[in-house]
Amino acid sequence: MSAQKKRNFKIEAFKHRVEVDPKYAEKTWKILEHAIHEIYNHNASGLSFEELYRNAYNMVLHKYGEKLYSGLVTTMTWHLKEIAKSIEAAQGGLFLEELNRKWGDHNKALQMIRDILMYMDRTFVPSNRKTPVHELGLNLWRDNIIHSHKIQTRLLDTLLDLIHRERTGEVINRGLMRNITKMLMDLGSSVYQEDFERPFLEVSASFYSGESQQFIECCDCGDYLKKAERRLNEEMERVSHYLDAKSEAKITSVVEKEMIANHMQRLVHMENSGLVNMLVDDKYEDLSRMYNLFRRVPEGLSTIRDVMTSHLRETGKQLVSDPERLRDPVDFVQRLLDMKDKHDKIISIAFNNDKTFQNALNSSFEYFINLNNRSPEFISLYVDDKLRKGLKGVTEEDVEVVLDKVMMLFRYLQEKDVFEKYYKQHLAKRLLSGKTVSDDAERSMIVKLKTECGYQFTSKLEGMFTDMRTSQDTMQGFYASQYSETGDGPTLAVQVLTTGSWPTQPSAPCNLPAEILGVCEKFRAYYLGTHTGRRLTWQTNMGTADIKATFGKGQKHELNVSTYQMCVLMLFNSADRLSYKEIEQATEIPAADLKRCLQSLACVKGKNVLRKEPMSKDIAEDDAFYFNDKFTSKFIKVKIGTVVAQKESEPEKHETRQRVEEDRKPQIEAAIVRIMKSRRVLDHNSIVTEVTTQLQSRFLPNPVVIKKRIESLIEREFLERDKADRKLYRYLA
Amino acid sequence: MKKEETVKLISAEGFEFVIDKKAAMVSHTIRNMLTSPGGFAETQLGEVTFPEISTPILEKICQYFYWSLQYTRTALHGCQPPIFLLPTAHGCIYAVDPIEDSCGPKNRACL
Repeated sequence: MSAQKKRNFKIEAFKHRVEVDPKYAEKTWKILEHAIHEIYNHNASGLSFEELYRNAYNMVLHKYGEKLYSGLVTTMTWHLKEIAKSIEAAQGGLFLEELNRKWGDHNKALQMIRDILMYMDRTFVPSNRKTPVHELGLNLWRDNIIHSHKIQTRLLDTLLDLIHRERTGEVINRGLMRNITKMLMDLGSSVYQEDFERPFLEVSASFYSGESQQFIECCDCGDYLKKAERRLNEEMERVSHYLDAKSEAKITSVVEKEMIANHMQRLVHMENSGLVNMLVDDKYEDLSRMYNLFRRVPEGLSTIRDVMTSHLRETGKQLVSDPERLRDPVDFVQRLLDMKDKHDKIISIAFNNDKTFQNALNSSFEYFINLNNRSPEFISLYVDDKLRKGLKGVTEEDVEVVLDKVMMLFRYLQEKDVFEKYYKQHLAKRLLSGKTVSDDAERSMIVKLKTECGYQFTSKLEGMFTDMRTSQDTMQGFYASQYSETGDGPTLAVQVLTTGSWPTQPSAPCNLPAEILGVCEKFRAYYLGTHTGRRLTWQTNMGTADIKATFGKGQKHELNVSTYQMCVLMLFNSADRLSYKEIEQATEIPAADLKRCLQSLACVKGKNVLRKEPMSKDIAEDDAFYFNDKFTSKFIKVKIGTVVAQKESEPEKHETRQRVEEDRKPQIEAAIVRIMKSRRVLDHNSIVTEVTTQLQSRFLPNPVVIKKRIESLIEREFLERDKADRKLYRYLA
Repeated sequence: MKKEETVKLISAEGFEFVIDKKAAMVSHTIRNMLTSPGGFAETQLGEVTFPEISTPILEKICQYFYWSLQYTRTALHGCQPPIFLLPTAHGCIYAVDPIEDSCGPKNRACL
């Protein structure tokens, strides 16, 4: 005993006392075989677990594991064959139920068998590389039942038939279906896939192919999409109820392919109900549905996008080329804004604010806005209209909203420098006539332009505002100083404009009346007294005057007229009748301006302070003008024909265009010199590309013009051509 | 102890040991026995007969069950549980195996 103390004890398996009996194995096996039979026959209640377990244990221990295992296989197989017969015998609808019931029984029996054969499962099976009991039971079921040739096809057909019935509207036993598919999954995912899933997908494909063909013949686009969506949801619901979750992606892609991908073009281009109609009619729900469905298939969204883009370009092109629309610039721009709003709304509601669609919208607008080269002018006119009267009484936030929308259109313009020119003109007219609705709105617009295009763009515009402010200060100084005398002379309000900032117009000659001249000279003296080295030129074509006039019956009116008109009217202080020629001589106003001025004084109903003979609309050389004693008006203050910013006439348009082209030349040259200075040597095409890139925020330069500018620079020895390669240019320092 | 929470283990000589089900479930085999579907006699009656295990051995086994239940948790925390004594005179060592189905925890036999 003491010797044993030092030894480590080995734990050995417990050996029951068994008799040495040659037939021992056979006897033990018989007990177990009988038990298995009883289990399959639902007779297990009398058995003792302990006894069976002990017997199995002993067999394995005494090296009879192989006999036990193979005996198990044989017995189970025999039982399963019997079960197969009973399933095959089931009629019609009872087939699946019988299969389901027997499967449940088998599982229960399998578990009991595995429990009593636990020792074998854990020792004999792994060391002899046999299939464990549970798995063995499943495999035997699979081979003897599911793959028995009578059952295999019948099972598949039944399942597919039930699914088909459910698709056509019948109600089926979903619980039973669930158990069967679960059984197939338990037998192995390859069983599920081969014996069910693959044929299921094939059958579904042909089902939906047929159905989609049928629908597309008789439904319009919106209805078809509704149906497709419904079927898709149905299939997903079907999977969640009684198919394996992994089938969801596969079946949905089948439906997507058959119902959507195969008919995409036809749906989108469908007459009277396709994508274009939906866009025009703001059918948000339908569009949203189309977007969500097409998103699932390859090329789906790009199909929608392409059709939308070409539709936008077409519509936009029509809009900008329609001569009717072009009559009213403000309306023209309003329509553009409305079109943008409409499509923005569609993209945000129906297309999920998809960035690619936004980009398509932007590129389409950019395309057609620039088709009409008067777009910059019109947009400026629109802003002018808003700032004169359109934004009256509108809250600050709404003003911002409107201006932001205009800025969106501005961004699409390629010829931003043309816009700048027009904006300057219109702003000048607004400032000088004091016709702007809100200073804050003006400033806000300038800030936006500065943010968009940089300081350079707006520096002159800001200069104009500064001039206005400075002029006010100057006037105060003038009236406070010794130069002004209180008297009954006319009151003068002068705006001093810095030449560089304001749109230049050649100053025309004009003979001011003596009273005016006097006070003007006084101002000139005052101003030059405080600012030496400057030159002042009166811009008579831009001024206004308020005159008090007394008419025939003694009624007094205050007339608000332009400077030219004031000169003409003052002549009638000393004469009752004047001919056109006399007026022209006296005032020296240029003919075209004078004619317009006389027209507005004599030919406009309700504003005719002058009477013309003959009473025709046009001014002829030998017309005579009389002071109209009989003039009446409801208002004390009468405004006569102030020049409103109109869209230009043809010659004016040409002139502006030419000026823009002239302005562009130095900009292009500056860009070329900049580029060549840093690159030193560059070939022709690269220069063109670089120049275009640098200037694209202002305008799109014409390659021909760039070439001419390069040649001009070569003449002036800024660049030279390379002697070897004619296409290469070199910078000359 | 309630009837439902107990199970009866009967030795070869007919001694009956009434213990907690939880204790008995320490043995995987007894656990399978009691939870197996189908109506095995053991589950129905709530008693297991071991015609080949003697009374003193079965008694030791029941003590082992309680020892295991009590100190498994402590062992997980890293503390050393007290040693479970297996008197060799009874040939006890050999008895641990078939019930445990594995080489149970290392018991050091002491005299």
